[in-house]
Amino acid sequence: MNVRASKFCKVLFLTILFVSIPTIADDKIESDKTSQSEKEPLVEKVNAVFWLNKLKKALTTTNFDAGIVTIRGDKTESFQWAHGWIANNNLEVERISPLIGGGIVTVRKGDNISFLEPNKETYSVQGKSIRNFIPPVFYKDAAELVDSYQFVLVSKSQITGRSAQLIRIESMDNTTYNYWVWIDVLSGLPLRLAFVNNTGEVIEQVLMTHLTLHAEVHPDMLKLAELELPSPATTGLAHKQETNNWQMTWLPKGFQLLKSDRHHVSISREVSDYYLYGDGLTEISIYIQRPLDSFNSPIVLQDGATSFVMVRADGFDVTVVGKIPPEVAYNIAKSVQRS
Amino acid sequence: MTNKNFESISALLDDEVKASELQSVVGEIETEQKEAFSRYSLIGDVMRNEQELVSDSSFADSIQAAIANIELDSVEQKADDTLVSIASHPKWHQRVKQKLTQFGQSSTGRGMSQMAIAASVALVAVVGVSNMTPQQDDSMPTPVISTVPLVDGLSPVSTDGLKAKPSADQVTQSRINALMADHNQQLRAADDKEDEDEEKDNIDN
Repeated sequence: MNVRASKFCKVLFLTILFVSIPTIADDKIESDKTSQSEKEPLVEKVNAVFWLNKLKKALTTTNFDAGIVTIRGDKTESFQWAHGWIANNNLEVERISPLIGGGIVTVRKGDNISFLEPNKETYSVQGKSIRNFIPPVFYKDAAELVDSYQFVLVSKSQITGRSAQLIRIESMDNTTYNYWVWIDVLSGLPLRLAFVNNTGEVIEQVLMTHLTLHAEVHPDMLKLAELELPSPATTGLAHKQETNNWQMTWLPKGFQLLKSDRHHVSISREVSDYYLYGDGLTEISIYIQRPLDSFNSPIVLQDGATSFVMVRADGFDVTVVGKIPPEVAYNIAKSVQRS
Repeated sequence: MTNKNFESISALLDDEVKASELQSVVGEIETEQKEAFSRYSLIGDVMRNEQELVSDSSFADSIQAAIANIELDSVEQKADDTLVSIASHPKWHQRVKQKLTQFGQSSTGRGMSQMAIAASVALVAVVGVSNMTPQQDDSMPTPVISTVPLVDGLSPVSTDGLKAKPSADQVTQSRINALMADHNQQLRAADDKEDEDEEKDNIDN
C-alpha cells in the first residue's frame, strides 16, 4: 500500500512536471517552477550523474562537427568544433578553430594539445581536454564536484531544434556560480552551457549553433591525426617552487592548486608569483606582484562571469581573476598572506 | 644780353678754352661780363662743394625788403584780425601781444582772459585726455592679447608633463590588461595535474 502510494505520488509529480512546463523559453521561470520538487530525491541525483557520464562519453568518443558561439557580456566569439574518434588507434582528435580567422587553432591528439597561431611557433602542452568552452570536469568524473556542488536534473527543452536535458550544477554555498548544461538527448553532447548567478540570471553562455554527427570518423580528422605536431615541453617547475612563499588562507570549497610558478606576465613582462586553482568547472588565477605606485584599492571589474579583483595588501598587490562572483574573488585576494 | 656773350666765360671756367682764345676772352671781359664771371665761378664752386654760398648782404636785404613789401600789402588787403591773417603776417606775434595787452587792460578783458586761460587749460586737458584715451586703448589690449597665449601656452606644457610620465590610471589599466591576457594564456595551457607548466613565460627563460 505504501509502495503503491509513493509510486502514485511519483507518477502524479511527473505528470505535473511535464504539464507545467511544455515549451518554456525562459529558463528562469522553468527553474523556479521545478526547483522545489527537484531537491529531494536521490534518484534524480543518480540521473544527473547518468547524464553527465553520457556527456563525457559523447565528448570523447563521438565523431561530430559543431558550431559554437560564446556570449560573454556584450562580446561574442564563434568557433568551429570538430572531434573524431579513431577506434583502431584508440586515439581522439579534436580541433577548435575560430570562425573568424587570425586566432589560435587548438588541436588535441590524445593528451597532446597544440596551439597553432599565425606568425608564431606552434607549441604543445599535455592535457586531457581543451580548456575553452567545455569545463575539464566533463571529460573526467563529474562526481569530483559532489563535495561543493549539487546536481539537479531539470526538464527537457529544445535547443537548436534538438531535444535537450538540462542539468543544473549548483553551488552549495554560493561561493561559485551555478553551471547549467543542456545535454542533447540523442548524442549526449552539450547543446548549451551557462554560468548562472544566484538570482537565476544567465551571465555567460555557450551555444551550439549547429551539430553534425558522423557515423564514421571524418576524413579531415584522419588527416589531422597524421599531422606532425610538437611534443609537450618537459620542463618541470619543481625548482621554482621555493620562490613561492604565499598562502591562501581561504578558498572556496573544492578548489585545488593546479600550478604555481613565478613568471613574466604576458604583454607587460612584469614579474609575478602565480597560482592557478581549479575545481573542475572553473579556474582562479592569483597573481602577487610588487605594489603599484598608486591605485585605488580595491579594483573590482566584471566581464560576463569573469571577475577581476586587485587588492593592495601589506607591501604587495594581489590580483584574483576567474569565473567566480566578485565578492568571492575579493575574499580570496584578502586571504593571501606571506607564509 | 644773350648767353652767347658769356659762352666764352663759361668755357674759360670749365677749362675748355683754347690757349689762342684765352687772351681775347680775358681782354674782352667787360663790367657786365665780370659780374657774370663772378656768378659763374661761384656756381661752379658751389656745385663742386668748394665754397659755401655766402650771399651778399645787399642781396639778402633787397629780398627781405621785397618780401616785406609784399606781405604788408597782403595784410593791408585782408584788413581783418582773423587768426589766419595774423599768422600769415610775419610780425603776427607782435600783433597778438599788442591785441592781448589791449584786451587785458580793459575791465571785462581781465575776467575774460582768466576764463580764456581756464578754457585753454580745459581744452588742453580735453585734448590731452582725448589723446590719452586711444593710447590707453592701444596699450590695454596688447597685454590682454599677450596674456591669452601665455595661458594657452601653459596648459599644454603641463599636459605634456603628464604625458611624459604615464599616469597611475594608465599603469593600473595596462596591468589589468596584462593580467587578463595572462590568465587566459595560463588557462589554455593548464591541466589538472600540478606537474605541468607552460614552458613560455618562465622567469628562467
